[in-house]
Order: sequence, then C-alpha cells, then structure tokens
Amino acid sequence: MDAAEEARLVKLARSGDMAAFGRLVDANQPAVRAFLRRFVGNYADADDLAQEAFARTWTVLDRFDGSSRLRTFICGVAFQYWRRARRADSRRMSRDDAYAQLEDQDTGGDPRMAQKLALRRAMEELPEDQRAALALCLGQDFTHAEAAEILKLPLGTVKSHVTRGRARLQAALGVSAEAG
Amino acid sequence: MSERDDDLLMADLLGEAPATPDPGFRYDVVVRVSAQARRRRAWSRALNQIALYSAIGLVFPILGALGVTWNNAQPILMTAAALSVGLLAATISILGPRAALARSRAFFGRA
Repeated sequence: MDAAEEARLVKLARSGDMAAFGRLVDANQPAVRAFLRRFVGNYADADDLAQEAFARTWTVLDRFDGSSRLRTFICGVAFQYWRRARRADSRRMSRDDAYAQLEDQDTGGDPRMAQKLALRRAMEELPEDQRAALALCLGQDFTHAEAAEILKLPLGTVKSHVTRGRARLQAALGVSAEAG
Repeated sequence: MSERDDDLLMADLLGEAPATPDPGFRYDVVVRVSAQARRRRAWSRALNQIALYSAIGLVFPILGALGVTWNNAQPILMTAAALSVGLLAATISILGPRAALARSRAFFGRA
C-alpha cells in the first residue's frame, strides 16, 4: 500500500469508517505481528498484543500526524502498551511456556528447532530496548530510523543496539550449530 | 552467507511473518474495537446517571438548609419536574434506542 492510499484510508478511518480501518489492519498486520512475535517470543501473546495495539490505534488515530508510516505508529502503540502492561511473573511464565514448547518440539532432533531455542534464549537475555530494536530491524521490515521512532530512542543508540544484539544472536547460533 | 541473509534467517527463526491477508485477525481487531466502544459508552452512561441522581438528591437538603419548606418550594419543584420530564422525552426521541427522530438525526449527521 503506498503512502497516498494509506493517508486516504487513515482519513476515512478517522471519520469512523470501519471498512477503511479494516484495510489498514490488513495492510499493516504482517509487519506489526512479525515484530511482536520476534520480540515477545510467544505467538499467542504476540498476536493478542497486536490486536490490542490495533484496537487502541483506532481510538488514538487522531494523534497520528502522518509524518511516518502507520505501521511505525502502531508498533509504537504496541511497545508502549507492552511496557505498561508487563508483569515480571507473567513475562517469566510466558517465556517458560515458550521454552517448554520449543523443548518439546526439540525432542524430534530437528536442528532448526535447536537453533530456534538457542536464538530465543539469547534474545531473552538481551535488555528490552535492544531486543525490540533487533525484532524490528532483523527482518528488514523497519529501518533504523523507524525503529528509533517506535522505541523513542536516538538513532545512534538503535544502530548500536542492533549491531551488538546481532553479534550476540550470531554467537548463539554459532554455538548451537557447533553443538548440533 | 551475507549479513542480510544472516539477518533474515535469524528473523525467520525468531518468528515468521504471518500470512496475509488474515481475515480472522481483522475480525478479532474489530471485535475488540466494538468491545472497547461498548465499555466507554457504559462508563459514560454510568457517570451521567451518577451525576444526575446526585444532583436530584442534593436539591432537597440544599433547599432544607436554605429554610425552604415544601409549601414554598412546591411551584418550583413542580416546574422543575415538568421540565425534567420534557427533557427526558426529548432525549429519548432524539437519542433513544428506537428514536422517533433517528432519520432526521442521520440526515443532519451526514450534512
């Protein structure tokens, strides 16, 4: 979807057009959900968070000034919501669930699953800003500048987070590959 | 393997991008939006009712404190009651669930 079409649909959605908002959801959901899946680690939680972010976006659409793409705005909403809503216990539980799920699947001896597990563990050990920056930029879905806007961090910090985080993940992947 | 390929591989391992379009996801979002709107309306209605009944309840102690007796206040209270009934009837006609003026409201809403 090009920027002009997005701006047109945003204008319609602001006036209460749910069909236009539905098209915006369709267009933006892959990038937003991919970011949250990589960031949260648990697909069910990530999709739940993504739905909440889209629903909140509907109510705060007036605050979107159009200076960036809508998906950047939605990811910002999702990240801020996650920050407010997180609880240490629930986060640990969901992480444990994800490990348990992966370990169950790992018993089949699938090397890809071992890599997934190693990466997820390395990801969970990163500070949350670094983890979010990686989740945004690794899949080439968002530029560093967009990630900086979403996370409300300076551009240099985001670049540094991505470089360092990538090195940690590559190390985890290398260890995993050697072990496998 | 290039850095870009490496990044894409890691991103894929951490979480795949979902298929698109995904009507189920859109449906869930719409359901959440509707639920939030319902909750907001319910809150607003509850607050309005609390304010209204509090105001009605306050009238009598205030009048009593000012030394106004029932006989003195009766004309004022009767007028206030008549006005309240008129306001209620108008509100129901314009905004009620089966509003008599719904068509006019829709017309002016479009304009």
